[in-house]
Amino acid sequence: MSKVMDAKVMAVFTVAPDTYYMELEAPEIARLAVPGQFVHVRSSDSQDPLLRRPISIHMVSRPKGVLALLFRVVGKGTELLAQKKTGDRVNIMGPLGRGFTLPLPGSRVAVAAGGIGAAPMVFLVQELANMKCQVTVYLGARDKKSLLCDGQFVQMEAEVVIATDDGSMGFKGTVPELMRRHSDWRRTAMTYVCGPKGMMKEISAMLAEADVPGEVSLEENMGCGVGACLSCAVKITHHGQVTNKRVCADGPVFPSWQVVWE
Amino acid sequence: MRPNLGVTIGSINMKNPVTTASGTFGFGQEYGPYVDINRLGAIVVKGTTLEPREGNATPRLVETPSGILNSIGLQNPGADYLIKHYAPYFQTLQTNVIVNISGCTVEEYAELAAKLDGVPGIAGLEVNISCPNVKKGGMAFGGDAATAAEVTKAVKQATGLPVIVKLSPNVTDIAEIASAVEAAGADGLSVINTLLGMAIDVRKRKPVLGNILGGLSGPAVKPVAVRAVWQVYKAVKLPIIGMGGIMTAEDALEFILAGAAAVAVGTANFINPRATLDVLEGIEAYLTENGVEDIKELVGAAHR
Repeated sequence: MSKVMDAKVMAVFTVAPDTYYMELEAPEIARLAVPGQFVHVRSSDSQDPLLRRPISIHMVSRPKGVLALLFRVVGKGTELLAQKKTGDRVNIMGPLGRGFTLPLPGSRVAVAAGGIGAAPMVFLVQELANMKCQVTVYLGARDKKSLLCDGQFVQMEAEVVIATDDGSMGFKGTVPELMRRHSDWRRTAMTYVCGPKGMMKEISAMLAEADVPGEVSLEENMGCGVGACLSCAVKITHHGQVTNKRVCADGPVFPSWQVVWE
Repeated sequence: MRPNLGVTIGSINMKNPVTTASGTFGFGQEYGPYVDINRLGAIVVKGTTLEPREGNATPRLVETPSGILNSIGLQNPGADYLIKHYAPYFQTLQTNVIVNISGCTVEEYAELAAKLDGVPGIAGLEVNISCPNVKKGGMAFGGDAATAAEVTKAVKQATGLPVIVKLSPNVTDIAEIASAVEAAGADGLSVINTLLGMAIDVRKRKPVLGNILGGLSGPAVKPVAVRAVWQVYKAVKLPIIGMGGIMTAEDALEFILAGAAAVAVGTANFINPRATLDVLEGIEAYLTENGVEDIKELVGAAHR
């Protein structure tokens, strides 16, 4: 069951250009959340910006009752959020949406993350590590400075393979190009994907071709966050029929082979 | 003594004047975790058409200063699905469920109204007359007094349910349309629907919304909505459900003082899922603090 609460900011700092890490005291949400879910965040009490911002859950610490977000400043809402100080209150609603499907304990799995898409994957890999899964992370970013979460993945004993657009770290190229040079993901129980739309589309096609299962975490302009307003529609194929699903309530995570990419 | 909050729209007895704006509250269930729906005077559920509709291309929503533009395009599962899957749930509620209906021809409105007539769990119909009239060259029914009246008459003849007509603000003289709809037999009016608007992405040099045009709602439209309620109240005797940017009880009271018998909370639900109850509790507190025994004393009080 989702909650609405004023969460106290426990920490907030920048980790990369325009990218912020924020810890919020939200024991109930931390207890209920599963990897891939999000919280709907009010960045200010004013009416401009008006809407909440959906932000994926980056990490939870259940013993501490803390929820961590990792977000990029892309507009007025996220800019206001980044200006919060320790001790401030932020109104959040969550956990919302349907998260990733977890594999059997001990499975071999792959994670493909690009840019800020790495944010929800830390929570996922945390859970996978607890399940003694063998994880390979294909991690991409524009450049070395913008690369996110690589240290965290290593700490959780995942194998991390890196690609940057400019080659300033790891392979020079995109995450799908990086994956083409590796074969591990072809033998996994699941490949979890989060990143720019183009990247997710390309990897979904690769997964389909290799006939291996995958899940993608989608994004769309969102209103209510609870499945009422039907703003965040996405086309999904189910039993041969294309229907609208709601990113907020039916997703954000969908089977990679079911998404109809535009 | 607790003030009397009860109001009547046609034959719909509402225990209080607070309801929801169609399209912002789904079918009610979506807000179940946040709101005790049974405390509301009524809920107006998602716009329904005779046949299922897929809706418009995304993006369907964009934020604008103190408002949002939406172009959902009436995505809905159709009347048969509503009757089979949602009406049984409506029956379990201790509040009035009003179904918002849309059509593209007068006959379609009438057929839909007839289909929903007598379905247990449905207390009334709200008629969305903003749908483009295909037969008359794409002009919205709500933009013209004669066509608005024609739809109203057809729906009234097709159903025994109370009929509330939702007026569009995208007209020169909303009072004229309200009068025509009243003469055609409507039981109440919802004032207002969204304002037609658009936004352009200057980086892409393209309209933001997939559908190009959208409906503006939220606090940005409130003064326009209050004005519309004021003008309609002067023109007709029908009870009005006022809506347009209501975020707080104070906003709601503005509408009531302008002439609304009831108020609908819309966009605010997205920001504060408990907005309906906050508005209700705030209205009750205002009445108590000001020694007003009955909410009806305030309806249109700013005119006197």
